[in-house]
Amino acid sequence: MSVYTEAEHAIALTDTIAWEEHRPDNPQEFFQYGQYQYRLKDYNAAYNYYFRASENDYILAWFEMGECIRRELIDEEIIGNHAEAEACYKKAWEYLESKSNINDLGTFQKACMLRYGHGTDINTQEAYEIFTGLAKQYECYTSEDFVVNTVYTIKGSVADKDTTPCKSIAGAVLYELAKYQLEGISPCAQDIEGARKLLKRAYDFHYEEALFLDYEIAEKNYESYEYQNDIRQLYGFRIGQYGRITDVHPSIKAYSRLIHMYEEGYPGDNSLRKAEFAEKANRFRKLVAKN
Amino acid sequence: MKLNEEIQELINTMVTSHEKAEYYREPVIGYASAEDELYNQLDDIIGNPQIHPTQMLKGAKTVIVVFLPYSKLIYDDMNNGKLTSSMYSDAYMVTNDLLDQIAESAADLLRKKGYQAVTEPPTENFDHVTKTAKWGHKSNAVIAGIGTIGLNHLLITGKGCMGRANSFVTDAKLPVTPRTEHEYCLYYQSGKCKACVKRCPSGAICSDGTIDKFRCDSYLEGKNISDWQQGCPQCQLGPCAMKGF
Repeated sequence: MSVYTEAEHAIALTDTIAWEEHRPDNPQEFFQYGQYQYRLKDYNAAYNYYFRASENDYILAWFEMGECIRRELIDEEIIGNHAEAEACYKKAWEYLESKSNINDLGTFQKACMLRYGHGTDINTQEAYEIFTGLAKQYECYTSEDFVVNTVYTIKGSVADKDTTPCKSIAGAVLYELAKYQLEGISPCAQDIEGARKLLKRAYDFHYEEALFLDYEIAEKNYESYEYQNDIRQLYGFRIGQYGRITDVHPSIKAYSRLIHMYEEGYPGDNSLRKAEFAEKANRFRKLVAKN
Repeated sequence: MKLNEEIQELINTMVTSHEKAEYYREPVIGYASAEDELYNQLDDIIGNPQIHPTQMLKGAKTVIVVFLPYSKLIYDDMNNGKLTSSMYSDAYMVTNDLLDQIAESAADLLRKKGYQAVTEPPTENFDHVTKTAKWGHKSNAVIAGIGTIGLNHLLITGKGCMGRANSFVTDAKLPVTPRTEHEYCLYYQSGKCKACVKRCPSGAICSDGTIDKFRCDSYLEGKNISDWQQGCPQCQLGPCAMKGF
């Protein structure tokens, strides 16, 4: 049993019921709905709602739009004539810089832009200080805060407690700090072991990318990997999420993500399972060709 | 009317008069002796401790198994080229309730005739951590001779694998359903097919006969984000969907 996948499943069920009962109808809710869709890996839908939020000058939306475009998460026809990634980041930077009081997410976005030089000049030192400051705020979280179960109600299955910790930036912050140690970016010296500890903690704080990166650092050597069950369940979970998107919002990008996972192979599979798994991409290759 | 005929009639009536009767074909009902030697071997065959019928009910004589095969209506909705089917999801929940009601009604019938009966719901006897059950409706169905376990690890009956089962115990001694050596799975019969392996989106089912339950489960956790998208019908959509071989 994976604490992460069980909790994410509960969050998704709860949020889906909530959004079915109340559709987003203001800029903040457009943004939050975009975050909900992003969490479900429906990036096209996420971008559309970030865009709706941005049209009403919702500051936090611009960075997320930039991320969707730069990371090539969305189909080109969705972007259309909209701004390119760098233009989105520039707008995000201008807005966030002009405000004296921004929330943690806005602060995190600024730090990311400084770290990678999006929308502003690179300043890894300043970014590091911001990430470190944010991390201190979430030091109080323990793994217990991220255990979430579902409770069946007449309206459907809902989470049994507040899921705010799971949706916070705590994990994302630790992930970024881990990359400093992984890459030896100033002011950090390279420290692979330290980076891996931070990545595991980031994953425990619900940032799933952290475990995928950790597995890469371990050279995808399944036999010696310390978190075999977690990586396997995370992989299955992600295939489920991607698979769902190919049904509800089919697109070339959606099919391509699933194809990539089938080609990558499931952690720990023997040669027979690997071959059978890779063949599953054929169905989606045909759909890509058809489109 | 003999007791087993009364039970059959009760079950058939409950299904045909159900508000969603169009979801089902005629039920498959089987009877296993609670003293069948296979029950003493189940722990080893399945690989985790199982409840013996006499542990469910002291003096148990018969295990009654009911399999409700889905109709072509469900099959057509499931076989839509997609990974999700809202009708299948609805059928899953409706059928669990119906099987529960069937077991209780049949148990009531037996009790009115002076017998004892103990029921077990078609779900929730399942350990979500280890993904194991102690009272297996599928294994009861095999012992009762109404089907065999296929490469897809589902119960395949003469009416296929697409459906759901329940089983309960009574101290009424009812005629057992004969169990033969017949194998309903086309792959185990002939080495052909493997449709379930190809269809399984997570790769949980392998042609070496193994299944990774945790892989299946984590896939479902990622896919099923609303109550109308439960389960995954893919392994039920091969040639054995609506008939055994």
